[in-house]
Amino acid sequence: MADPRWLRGRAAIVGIGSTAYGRRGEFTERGELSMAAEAVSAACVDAGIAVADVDGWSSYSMDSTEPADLAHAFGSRPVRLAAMTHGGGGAAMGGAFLHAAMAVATGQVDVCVVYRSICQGKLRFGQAIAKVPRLPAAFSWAAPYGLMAAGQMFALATVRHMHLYGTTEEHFCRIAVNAREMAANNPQARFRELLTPNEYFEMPYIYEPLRRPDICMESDVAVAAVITSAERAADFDADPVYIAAASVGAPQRFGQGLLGSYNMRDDDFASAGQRTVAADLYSKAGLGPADVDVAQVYDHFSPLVLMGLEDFGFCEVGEGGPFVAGGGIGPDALPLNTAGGHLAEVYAHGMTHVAEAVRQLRGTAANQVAGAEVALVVGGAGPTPTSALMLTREAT
Amino acid sequence: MPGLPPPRLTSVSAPYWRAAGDRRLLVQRCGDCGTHRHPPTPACYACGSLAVDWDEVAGTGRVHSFVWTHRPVVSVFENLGVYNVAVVELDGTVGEPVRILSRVNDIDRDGLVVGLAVCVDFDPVDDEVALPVFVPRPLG
Repeated sequence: MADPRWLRGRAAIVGIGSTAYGRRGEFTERGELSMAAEAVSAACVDAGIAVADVDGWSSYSMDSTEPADLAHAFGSRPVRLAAMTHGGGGAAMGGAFLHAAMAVATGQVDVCVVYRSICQGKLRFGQAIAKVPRLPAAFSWAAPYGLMAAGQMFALATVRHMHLYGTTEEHFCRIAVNAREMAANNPQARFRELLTPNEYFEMPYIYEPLRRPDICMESDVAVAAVITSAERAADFDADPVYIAAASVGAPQRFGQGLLGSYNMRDDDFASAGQRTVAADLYSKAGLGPADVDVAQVYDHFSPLVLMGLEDFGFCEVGEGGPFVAGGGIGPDALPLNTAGGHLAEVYAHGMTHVAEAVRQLRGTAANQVAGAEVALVVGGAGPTPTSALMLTREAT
Repeated sequence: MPGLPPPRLTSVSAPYWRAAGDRRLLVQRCGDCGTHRHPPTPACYACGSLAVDWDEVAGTGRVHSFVWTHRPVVSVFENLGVYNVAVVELDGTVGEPVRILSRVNDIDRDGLVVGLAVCVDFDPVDDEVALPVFVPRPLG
Protein backbone atom coordinates (compact mmCIF):
# COMPACT_ATOMS: atom_id res chain seq x y z
CA MET A 1 0.00 0.00 0.00
CA ALA A 2 1.21 3.47 -0.83
CA ASP A 3 2.60 5.60 1.97
CA PRO A 4 -0.22 7.89 3.18
CA ARG A 5 2.44 10.53 3.79
CA TRP A 6 3.69 10.51 0.20
CA LEU A 7 2.22 13.91 -0.67
CA ARG A 8 3.43 15.58 2.52
CA GLY A 9 5.38 18.74 1.79
CA ARG A 10 5.59 18.10 -1.97
CA ALA A 11 3.39 21.08 -2.84
CA ALA A 12 3.42 24.66 -1.61
CA ILE A 13 1.21 27.72 -1.60
CA VAL A 14 3.30 30.52 -3.12
CA GLY A 15 0.68 33.21 -3.62
CA ILE A 16 -2.63 34.42 -2.19
CA GLY A 17 -4.91 37.20 -3.33
CA SER A 18 -8.45 38.46 -3.12
CA THR A 19 -10.84 41.15 -4.21
CA ALA A 20 -12.03 43.76 -1.75
CA TYR A 21 -14.51 42.30 0.72
CA GLY A 22 -17.95 43.25 -0.55
CA ARG A 23 -21.18 43.03 1.36
CA ARG A 24 -23.88 40.75 0.02
CA GLY A 25 -25.05 42.21 -3.26
CA GLU A 26 -22.32 44.85 -3.48
CA PHE A 27 -20.68 43.28 -6.55
CA THR A 28 -23.75 41.71 -8.15
CA GLU A 29 -23.50 43.86 -11.24
CA ARG A 30 -19.82 43.12 -11.62
CA GLY A 31 -20.23 39.37 -11.41
CA GLU A 32 -18.20 36.36 -10.37
CA LEU A 33 -15.94 36.07 -13.42
CA SER A 34 -14.58 39.60 -13.10
CA MET A 35 -14.05 39.08 -9.38
CA ALA A 36 -12.33 35.74 -9.90
CA ALA A 37 -10.00 37.36 -12.43
CA GLU A 38 -9.01 40.06 -9.95
CA ALA A 39 -8.34 37.52 -7.18
CA VAL A 40 -6.30 35.28 -9.49
CA SER A 41 -4.33 38.27 -10.72
CA ALA A 42 -3.62 39.39 -7.16
CA ALA A 43 -2.51 35.91 -6.12
CA CYS A 44 -0.14 35.71 -9.10
CA VAL A 45 1.28 39.17 -8.32
CA ASP A 46 1.92 37.91 -4.79
CA ALA A 47 3.70 34.88 -6.24
CA GLY A 48 5.67 36.98 -8.68
CA ILE A 49 4.36 35.33 -11.84
CA ALA A 50 2.01 36.23 -14.64
CA VAL A 51 -1.40 34.56 -14.82
CA ALA A 52 -0.24 33.53 -18.28
CA ASP A 53 2.13 31.07 -16.53
CA VAL A 54 -0.73 29.13 -14.92
CA ASP A 55 -1.55 25.74 -16.45
CA GLY A 56 -3.82 24.23 -13.79
CA TRP A 57 -7.15 25.35 -12.30
CA SER A 58 -9.03 23.95 -9.33
CA SER A 59 -12.19 25.02 -7.55
CA TYR A 60 -15.12 23.60 -5.57
CA SER A 61 -18.78 24.03 -4.69
CA MET A 62 -19.74 24.21 -8.37
CA ASP A 63 -18.11 27.62 -8.69
CA SER A 64 -19.82 29.52 -11.48
CA THR A 65 -16.50 30.66 -12.98
CA GLU A 66 -14.96 28.11 -15.31
CA PRO A 67 -11.26 27.60 -15.96
CA ALA A 68 -12.08 28.02 -19.63
CA ASP A 69 -12.99 31.66 -19.11
CA LEU A 70 -10.09 32.52 -16.80
CA ALA A 71 -7.45 30.85 -18.98
CA HIS A 72 -8.96 32.48 -22.05
CA ALA A 73 -9.07 35.91 -20.45
CA PHE A 74 -5.42 35.86 -19.38
CA GLY A 75 -4.03 34.01 -22.41
CA SER A 76 -2.72 31.40 -20.02
CA ARG A 77 -0.59 28.41 -20.97
CA PRO A 78 -2.40 25.43 -22.39
CA VAL A 79 -4.76 24.13 -19.69
CA ARG A 80 -3.67 20.83 -18.17
CA LEU A 81 -6.07 20.61 -15.21
CA ALA A 82 -9.64 21.86 -14.71
CA ALA A 83 -10.65 20.25 -11.42
CA MET A 84 -13.92 20.53 -9.51
CA THR A 85 -14.62 19.09 -6.09
CA HIS A 86 -18.33 18.48 -5.74
CA GLY A 87 -20.26 19.51 -2.66
CA GLY A 88 -21.90 22.73 -1.62
CA GLY A 89 -20.82 25.75 0.40
CA GLY A 90 -17.39 25.78 2.00
CA ALA A 91 -17.31 22.11 2.89
CA ALA A 92 -15.26 20.91 -0.08
CA MET A 93 -12.69 23.74 0.02
CA GLY A 94 -9.81 21.40 0.89
CA GLY A 95 -10.61 19.25 -2.12
CA ALA A 96 -9.56 22.05 -4.45
CA PHE A 97 -6.18 22.14 -2.71
CA LEU A 98 -5.90 18.33 -2.72
CA HIS A 99 -6.36 18.26 -6.49
CA ALA A 100 -3.87 21.08 -6.93
CA ALA A 101 -1.27 19.48 -4.65
CA MET A 102 -1.55 16.09 -6.34
CA ALA A 103 -1.28 17.67 -9.77
CA VAL A 104 1.85 19.74 -9.09
CA ALA A 105 3.55 17.03 -6.99
CA THR A 106 3.16 14.45 -9.74
CA GLY A 107 4.21 16.77 -12.54
CA GLN A 108 0.84 16.92 -14.24
CA VAL A 109 0.83 20.70 -13.85
CA ASP A 110 3.50 23.32 -13.18
CA VAL A 111 1.43 26.07 -11.56
CA CYS A 112 -2.12 25.54 -10.33
CA VAL A 113 -4.52 28.21 -9.16
CA VAL A 114 -7.22 27.43 -6.59
CA TYR A 115 -10.06 29.94 -6.69
CA ARG A 116 -13.54 30.65 -5.35
CA SER A 117 -15.72 33.58 -6.40
CA ILE A 118 -19.14 34.26 -4.91
CA CYS A 119 -21.81 36.93 -5.26
CA GLN A 120 -24.25 36.11 -2.49
CA GLY A 121 -26.67 38.81 -3.43
CA LYS A 122 -27.46 36.70 -6.47
CA LEU A 123 -28.09 33.39 -4.81
CA ARG A 124 -28.75 33.58 -1.12
CA PHE A 125 -29.06 30.08 0.27
CA GLY A 126 -32.42 30.13 2.07
CA GLN A 127 -34.07 32.66 -0.18
CA ALA A 128 -32.95 30.75 -3.24
CA ILE A 129 -34.61 27.60 -1.97
CA ALA A 130 -37.75 29.47 -1.03
CA LYS A 131 -38.12 31.20 -4.38
CA VAL A 132 -37.37 28.53 -6.92
CA PRO A 133 -40.56 27.19 -8.51
CA ARG A 134 -39.31 23.60 -8.46
CA LEU A 135 -37.54 22.72 -5.27
CA PRO A 136 -34.16 21.03 -5.61
CA ALA A 137 -34.58 17.36 -4.72
CA ALA A 138 -32.31 17.61 -1.70
CA PHE A 139 -34.58 20.22 -0.13
CA SER A 140 -37.96 18.95 -1.25
CA TRP A 141 -38.41 16.99 1.97
CA ALA A 142 -37.60 19.99 4.17
CA ALA A 143 -38.93 23.13 2.50
CA PRO A 144 -42.66 22.30 2.95
CA TYR A 145 -42.04 22.50 6.70
CA GLY A 146 -40.27 25.86 6.48
CA LEU A 147 -36.72 24.51 6.77
CA MET A 148 -34.81 26.45 4.14
CA ALA A 149 -31.91 28.32 5.71
CA ALA A 150 -28.61 26.71 6.60
CA GLY A 151 -28.87 28.27 10.05
CA GLN A 152 -32.07 26.35 10.74
CA MET A 153 -30.43 23.12 9.62
CA PHE A 154 -27.35 23.54 11.76
CA ALA A 155 -29.50 24.55 14.71
CA LEU A 156 -30.84 20.98 14.60
CA ALA A 157 -27.31 19.66 15.24
CA THR A 158 -26.85 22.33 17.90
CA VAL A 159 -29.99 21.44 19.86
CA ARG A 160 -29.00 17.76 19.76
CA HIS A 161 -25.48 18.63 20.97
CA MET A 162 -26.94 20.65 23.85
CA HIS A 163 -29.19 17.72 24.76
CA LEU A 164 -26.45 15.09 24.65
CA TYR A 165 -23.60 17.01 26.25
CA GLY A 166 -25.02 19.96 28.16
CA THR A 167 -23.54 22.53 25.79
CA THR A 168 -24.86 26.04 26.51
CA GLU A 169 -25.35 29.38 24.81
CA GLU A 170 -22.46 30.73 26.89
CA HIS A 171 -20.22 28.39 24.91
CA PHE A 172 -21.47 29.75 21.59
CA CYS A 173 -20.99 33.27 22.92
CA ARG A 174 -17.28 32.56 23.50
CA ILE A 175 -16.82 31.76 19.79
CA ALA A 176 -18.67 34.91 18.72
CA VAL A 177 -16.67 37.07 21.14
CA ASN A 178 -13.37 35.53 19.93
CA ALA A 179 -14.23 36.35 16.33
CA ARG A 180 -14.73 40.02 17.16
CA GLU A 181 -11.56 40.15 19.28
CA MET A 182 -9.57 38.85 16.33
CA ALA A 183 -11.32 41.06 13.77
CA ALA A 184 -10.63 44.17 15.84
CA ASN A 185 -7.00 44.14 14.63
CA ASN A 186 -7.83 43.25 11.01
CA PRO A 187 -8.41 46.42 8.97
CA GLN A 188 -10.20 44.45 6.24
CA ALA A 189 -12.70 42.81 8.59
CA ARG A 190 -16.34 43.83 8.46
CA PHE A 191 -17.28 43.52 12.16
CA ARG A 192 -14.42 45.06 14.12
CA GLU A 193 -16.33 46.23 17.19
CA LEU A 194 -15.82 44.09 20.28
CA LEU A 195 -18.81 42.11 21.49
CA THR A 196 -19.53 41.68 25.19
CA PRO A 197 -21.43 38.69 26.57
CA ASN A 198 -24.13 41.08 27.78
CA GLU A 199 -24.58 42.46 24.27
CA TYR A 200 -24.66 38.92 22.92
CA PHE A 201 -27.43 37.79 25.25
CA GLU A 202 -29.49 40.92 24.59
CA MET A 203 -29.84 39.92 20.95
CA PRO A 204 -32.97 38.03 19.93
CA TYR A 205 -32.94 34.54 18.58
CA ILE A 206 -33.07 34.06 14.84
CA TYR A 207 -32.95 30.27 14.68
CA GLU A 208 -33.13 29.38 18.36
CA PRO A 209 -30.62 28.87 19.94
CA LEU A 210 -28.67 30.85 17.31
CA ARG A 211 -28.46 34.63 17.53
CA ARG A 212 -27.14 37.09 14.98
CA PRO A 213 -23.49 36.88 16.23
CA ASP A 214 -23.59 33.06 15.94
CA ILE A 215 -24.40 33.28 12.23
CA CYS A 216 -21.86 34.20 9.55
CA MET A 217 -22.33 37.21 7.36
CA GLU A 218 -22.88 36.94 3.62
CA SER A 219 -20.43 38.52 1.22
CA ASP A 220 -19.46 39.17 -2.37
CA VAL A 221 -15.80 38.19 -2.62
CA ALA A 222 -13.27 36.17 -4.59
CA VAL A 223 -10.07 34.61 -3.24
CA ALA A 224 -7.33 32.69 -5.02
CA ALA A 225 -4.13 30.82 -4.15
CA VAL A 226 -1.18 29.75 -6.30
CA ILE A 227 0.14 26.20 -5.82
CA THR A 228 3.34 24.72 -7.18
CA SER A 229 5.69 21.87 -6.39
CA ALA A 230 8.12 22.12 -3.48
CA GLU A 231 11.00 21.93 -5.98
CA ARG A 232 9.73 24.95 -7.90
CA ALA A 233 8.62 26.94 -4.84
CA ALA A 234 11.99 28.66 -4.48
CA ASP A 235 11.55 30.27 -7.90
CA PHE A 236 8.65 32.42 -6.65
CA ASP A 237 8.71 35.73 -4.81
CA ALA A 238 6.66 34.80 -1.74
CA ASP A 239 7.84 32.62 1.13
CA PRO A 240 6.35 29.20 0.40
CA VAL A 241 3.89 27.60 2.78
CA TYR A 242 3.88 23.83 2.43
CA ILE A 243 0.83 21.60 2.19
CA ALA A 244 1.55 18.87 4.73
CA ALA A 245 -1.81 17.26 3.97
CA ALA A 246 -5.15 17.94 2.34
CA SER A 247 -8.14 15.68 2.98
CA VAL A 248 -11.76 15.43 1.97
CA GLY A 249 -14.40 13.04 3.20
CA ALA A 250 -17.33 12.25 5.43
CA PRO A 251 -18.58 9.32 7.50
CA GLN A 252 -20.58 6.46 6.00
CA ARG A 253 -24.18 7.41 5.18
CA PHE A 254 -23.46 11.07 5.96
CA GLY A 255 -24.84 12.03 2.57
CA GLN A 256 -25.86 15.67 2.36
CA GLY A 257 -25.63 15.81 6.16
CA LEU A 258 -27.84 18.38 7.78
CA LEU A 259 -28.57 19.84 4.36
CA GLY A 260 -30.21 16.61 3.27
CA SER A 261 -31.26 13.44 4.92
CA TYR A 262 -30.96 13.81 8.72
CA ASN A 263 -30.37 10.05 8.68
CA MET A 264 -26.65 10.00 9.32
CA ARG A 265 -25.52 7.87 12.25
CA ASP A 266 -26.42 9.39 15.59
CA ASP A 267 -22.74 9.74 16.53
CA ASP A 268 -22.38 12.06 13.56
CA PHE A 269 -25.65 14.00 13.94
CA ALA A 270 -24.36 16.33 16.65
CA SER A 271 -20.94 16.73 15.05
CA ALA A 272 -19.25 18.61 12.24
CA GLY A 273 -19.07 15.30 10.35
CA GLN A 274 -15.31 15.65 10.29
CA ARG A 275 -13.92 12.78 12.34
CA THR A 276 -12.93 10.69 9.33
CA VAL A 277 -11.36 13.73 7.66
CA ALA A 278 -9.40 14.53 10.82
CA ALA A 279 -8.03 11.00 11.11
CA ASP A 280 -7.10 11.00 7.43
CA LEU A 281 -5.48 14.43 7.61
CA TYR A 282 -3.42 13.66 10.70
CA SER A 283 -2.29 10.36 9.24
CA LYS A 284 -1.18 11.95 5.98
CA ALA A 285 0.54 14.90 7.68
CA GLY A 286 2.21 12.88 10.42
CA LEU A 287 1.00 15.59 12.76
CA GLY A 288 -1.71 15.78 15.39
CA PRO A 289 -3.68 18.40 17.29
CA ALA A 290 -0.83 18.92 19.75
CA ASP A 291 1.38 20.10 16.87
CA VAL A 292 -1.05 22.82 15.70
CA ASP A 293 0.15 26.37 16.46
CA VAL A 294 -2.87 28.16 15.00
CA ALA A 295 -6.26 26.90 13.78
CA GLN A 296 -8.75 28.33 11.31
CA VAL A 297 -11.98 26.41 11.88
CA TYR A 298 -14.89 27.10 9.55
CA ASP A 299 -17.34 29.28 11.43
CA HIS A 300 -20.58 29.59 9.52
CA PHE A 301 -22.32 28.93 12.83
CA SER A 302 -20.58 29.23 16.17
CA PRO A 303 -21.72 25.84 17.60
CA LEU A 304 -20.14 24.10 14.61
CA VAL A 305 -16.76 25.48 15.68
CA LEU A 306 -17.16 23.61 18.97
CA MET A 307 -18.01 20.44 17.06
CA GLY A 308 -15.07 20.97 14.69
CA LEU A 309 -12.68 21.32 17.62
CA GLU A 310 -14.08 18.05 18.97
CA ASP A 311 -13.84 16.24 15.64
CA PHE A 312 -10.22 17.36 15.22
CA GLY A 313 -9.29 16.12 18.68
CA PHE A 314 -8.56 19.36 20.54
CA CYS A 315 -10.89 18.03 23.23
CA GLU A 316 -13.12 15.01 23.75
CA VAL A 317 -16.41 14.67 21.90
CA GLY A 318 -19.00 16.67 23.81
CA GLU A 319 -16.37 18.81 25.57
CA GLY A 320 -16.13 21.57 22.96
CA GLY A 321 -18.16 23.97 25.08
CA PRO A 322 -16.20 23.59 28.32
CA PHE A 323 -12.98 23.60 26.25
CA VAL A 324 -13.56 27.05 24.75
CA ALA A 325 -15.15 28.51 27.88
CA GLY A 326 -12.30 27.21 30.04
CA GLY A 327 -9.53 29.03 28.21
CA GLY A 328 -8.88 26.49 25.46
CA ILE A 329 -8.85 29.10 22.71
CA GLY A 330 -7.11 32.44 22.46
CA PRO A 331 -3.64 33.92 22.05
CA ASP A 332 -2.22 32.02 25.02
CA ALA A 333 -3.91 28.72 24.21
CA LEU A 334 -5.07 27.61 20.75
CA PRO A 335 -5.21 30.77 18.60
CA LEU A 336 -8.45 30.40 16.64
CA ASN A 337 -9.80 32.16 13.55
CA THR A 338 -7.18 34.84 13.93
CA ALA A 339 -8.49 37.17 11.20
CA GLY A 340 -12.06 37.12 12.54
CA GLY A 341 -13.32 34.27 10.40
CA HIS A 342 -16.63 34.10 8.63
CA LEU A 343 -18.38 35.50 11.70
CA ALA A 344 -16.47 38.79 11.66
CA GLU A 345 -14.05 39.13 8.71
CA VAL A 346 -15.81 38.06 5.49
CA TYR A 347 -17.62 35.00 4.15
CA ALA A 348 -15.57 33.30 1.44
CA HIS A 349 -16.39 29.59 1.78
CA GLY A 350 -13.19 28.88 3.70
CA MET A 351 -10.74 30.58 1.34
CA THR A 352 -9.99 33.44 3.71
CA HIS A 353 -9.26 30.87 6.40
CA VAL A 354 -6.57 29.47 4.09
CA ALA A 355 -5.25 32.95 3.34
CA GLU A 356 -5.02 33.72 7.05
CA ALA A 357 -3.18 30.45 7.72
CA VAL A 358 -0.69 31.39 4.99
CA ARG A 359 -0.15 34.83 6.55
CA GLN A 360 0.41 33.23 9.96
CA LEU A 361 3.07 30.91 8.57
CA ARG A 362 4.70 33.77 6.65
CA GLY A 363 4.71 35.81 9.86
CA THR A 364 2.61 38.64 8.42
CA ALA A 365 -0.77 38.20 10.17
CA ALA A 366 -2.55 40.99 12.02
CA ASN A 367 -2.81 38.80 15.11
CA GLN A 368 0.50 37.08 14.52
CA VAL A 369 1.19 33.93 16.54
CA ALA A 370 4.88 34.09 17.42
CA GLY A 371 6.87 31.34 15.76
CA ALA A 372 3.88 29.68 14.11
CA GLU A 373 5.08 26.58 12.26
CA VAL A 374 1.92 24.49 11.80
CA ALA A 375 -1.55 25.74 10.83
CA LEU A 376 -4.76 23.74 10.57
CA VAL A 377 -7.55 24.88 8.26
CA VAL A 378 -10.91 23.14 8.68
CA GLY A 379 -13.48 23.36 5.91
CA GLY A 380 -17.16 23.83 6.47
CA ALA A 381 -19.38 21.35 8.20
CA GLY A 382 -21.96 20.54 5.58
CA PRO A 383 -22.59 17.99 2.88
CA THR A 384 -20.21 15.26 1.77
CA PRO A 385 -17.34 15.91 1.37
CA THR A 386 -16.09 18.21 4.06
CA SER A 387 -12.36 18.86 4.14
CA ALA A 388 -9.25 20.15 5.89
CA LEU A 389 -5.70 21.31 5.22
CA MET A 390 -2.55 21.08 7.30
CA LEU A 391 -0.02 23.74 6.34
CA THR A 392 3.58 24.10 7.54
CA ARG A 393 6.25 26.81 7.35
CA GLU A 394 9.01 24.29 6.66
CA ALA A 395 8.93 21.50 4.12
CA THR A 396 8.45 18.40 6.23
CA MET B 1 -48.98 26.44 7.15
CA PRO B 2 -49.98 28.88 4.42
CA GLY B 3 -47.21 30.37 2.33
CA LEU B 4 -44.79 27.49 2.53
CA PRO B 5 -43.85 25.73 -0.70
CA PRO B 6 -45.96 22.62 -1.32
CA PRO B 7 -44.24 19.23 -1.61
CA ARG B 8 -42.65 18.52 -4.95
CA LEU B 9 -44.20 15.37 -6.34
CA THR B 10 -41.78 13.29 -8.38
CA SER B 11 -41.86 9.68 -9.46
CA VAL B 12 -39.87 8.98 -6.31
CA SER B 13 -41.71 11.11 -3.77
CA ALA B 14 -45.32 11.11 -5.00
CA PRO B 15 -46.30 7.84 -3.23
CA TYR B 16 -45.13 9.31 0.07
CA TRP B 17 -47.07 12.57 -0.19
CA ARG B 18 -50.19 10.95 -1.67
CA ALA B 19 -50.27 8.30 1.06
CA ALA B 20 -50.15 11.12 3.60
CA GLY B 21 -53.24 12.48 1.84
CA ASP B 22 -54.89 9.19 2.84
CA ARG B 23 -53.58 9.60 6.41
CA ARG B 24 -50.97 6.88 5.99
CA LEU B 25 -47.21 7.22 6.69
CA LEU B 26 -45.01 5.33 4.25
CA VAL B 27 -41.30 4.61 4.54
CA GLN B 28 -39.19 3.18 1.77
CA ARG B 29 -38.16 -0.44 2.35
CA CYS B 30 -35.65 -2.61 0.53
CA GLY B 31 -37.47 -5.11 -1.63
CA ASP B 32 -34.86 -7.75 -0.86
CA CYS B 33 -33.63 -7.46 2.73
CA GLY B 34 -36.44 -5.33 4.22
CA THR B 35 -34.24 -2.55 5.60
CA HIS B 36 -36.10 0.77 5.95
CA ARG B 37 -34.66 4.06 4.73
CA HIS B 38 -35.70 7.71 4.41
CA PRO B 39 -35.65 9.92 2.46
CA PRO B 40 -35.88 7.61 -0.56
CA THR B 41 -32.66 6.51 -2.23
CA PRO B 42 -32.11 4.40 -5.34
CA ALA B 43 -30.31 1.58 -3.51
CA CYS B 44 -30.29 -0.20 -0.17
CA TYR B 45 -27.42 0.86 2.07
CA ALA B 46 -27.48 -2.54 3.79
CA CYS B 47 -27.42 -4.95 0.84
CA GLY B 48 -27.04 -2.84 -2.31
CA SER B 49 -30.31 -4.02 -3.83
CA LEU B 50 -32.12 -1.77 -6.28
CA ALA B 51 -35.50 -3.30 -5.42
CA VAL B 52 -37.69 -0.57 -3.91
CA ASP B 53 -40.79 -1.11 -1.82
CA TRP B 54 -42.92 1.08 0.42
CA ASP B 55 -44.07 0.09 3.89
CA GLU B 56 -46.78 1.65 6.01
CA VAL B 57 -45.48 2.33 9.51
CA ALA B 58 -47.28 3.07 12.76
CA GLY B 59 -45.99 6.62 12.94
CA THR B 60 -44.94 6.71 16.55
CA GLY B 61 -41.53 7.96 17.56
CA ARG B 62 -39.51 10.46 19.52
CA VAL B 63 -38.20 13.93 18.83
CA HIS B 64 -34.52 13.65 17.90
CA SER B 65 -33.92 17.39 17.55
CA PHE B 66 -35.77 20.56 16.64
CA VAL B 67 -35.38 24.26 15.89
CA TRP B 68 -37.68 27.21 16.56
CA THR B 69 -37.46 29.80 13.80
CA HIS B 70 -38.02 33.29 15.17
CA ARG B 71 -37.20 35.33 12.10
CA PRO B 72 -38.48 34.30 8.69
CA VAL B 73 -36.12 33.25 5.93
CA VAL B 74 -37.97 35.49 3.48
CA SER B 75 -40.50 38.21 4.16
CA VAL B 76 -43.33 36.20 2.60
CA PHE B 77 -43.15 33.90 5.65
CA GLU B 78 -43.58 36.67 8.20
CA ASN B 79 -47.12 35.50 8.97
CA LEU B 80 -45.80 32.15 10.19
CA GLY B 81 -44.69 33.66 13.49
CA VAL B 82 -42.39 31.52 15.62
CA TYR B 83 -42.59 27.97 14.29
CA ASN B 84 -40.79 24.69 14.86
CA VAL B 85 -39.25 22.14 12.59
CA ALA B 86 -38.44 18.79 14.19
CA VAL B 87 -36.58 15.61 13.33
CA VAL B 88 -38.53 12.58 14.55
CA GLU B 89 -36.98 9.14 14.94
CA LEU B 90 -39.59 6.49 14.17
CA ASP B 91 -40.25 3.40 16.28
CA GLY B 92 -40.14 -0.11 14.94
CA THR B 93 -38.18 0.24 11.71
CA VAL B 94 -35.65 -2.27 10.39
CA GLY B 95 -31.99 -1.25 10.14
CA GLU B 96 -30.41 1.95 11.36
CA PRO B 97 -32.90 4.41 12.89
CA VAL B 98 -35.20 6.14 10.41
CA ARG B 99 -35.75 9.85 10.95
CA ILE B 100 -38.30 12.09 9.29
CA LEU B 101 -38.12 15.83 9.03
CA SER B 102 -41.43 17.34 10.08
CA ARG B 103 -42.94 19.54 12.76
CA VAL B 104 -44.70 19.06 16.06
CA ASN B 105 -48.16 20.61 16.22
CA ASP B 106 -50.09 21.51 19.38
CA ILE B 107 -47.00 22.31 21.42
CA ASP B 108 -45.30 25.38 22.91
CA ARG B 109 -41.62 26.22 23.33
CA ASP B 110 -41.40 24.74 26.81
CA GLY B 111 -43.10 21.53 25.79
CA LEU B 112 -40.92 20.64 22.82
CA VAL B 113 -37.90 18.70 24.08
CA VAL B 114 -35.55 16.07 22.70
CA GLY B 115 -36.99 12.65 23.47
CA LEU B 116 -40.63 13.76 23.47
CA ALA B 117 -42.94 10.89 22.48
CA VAL B 118 -45.01 11.81 19.42
CA CYS B 119 -47.31 10.22 16.89
CA VAL B 120 -48.05 11.10 13.32
CA ASP B 121 -50.89 13.32 12.16
CA PHE B 122 -51.57 14.83 8.76
CA ASP B 123 -51.99 18.43 7.63
CA PRO B 124 -53.80 18.51 4.27
CA VAL B 125 -52.18 20.50 1.45
CA ASP B 126 -54.90 19.88 -1.14
CA ASP B 127 -57.41 17.15 -2.03
CA GLU B 128 -54.71 14.57 -2.73
CA VAL B 129 -51.64 15.51 -0.73
CA ALA B 130 -50.90 16.07 2.96
CA LEU B 131 -47.84 16.74 5.10
CA PRO B 132 -47.06 14.15 7.77
CA VAL B 133 -46.74 16.09 11.03
CA PHE B 134 -46.50 14.95 14.63
CA VAL B 135 -48.36 15.63 17.85
CA PRO B 136 -47.42 14.75 21.42
CA ARG B 137 -48.75 11.39 22.55
CA PRO B 138 -49.49 10.29 26.10
CA LEU B 139 -47.00 7.78 27.46
CA GLY B 140 -48.14 4.26 28.26
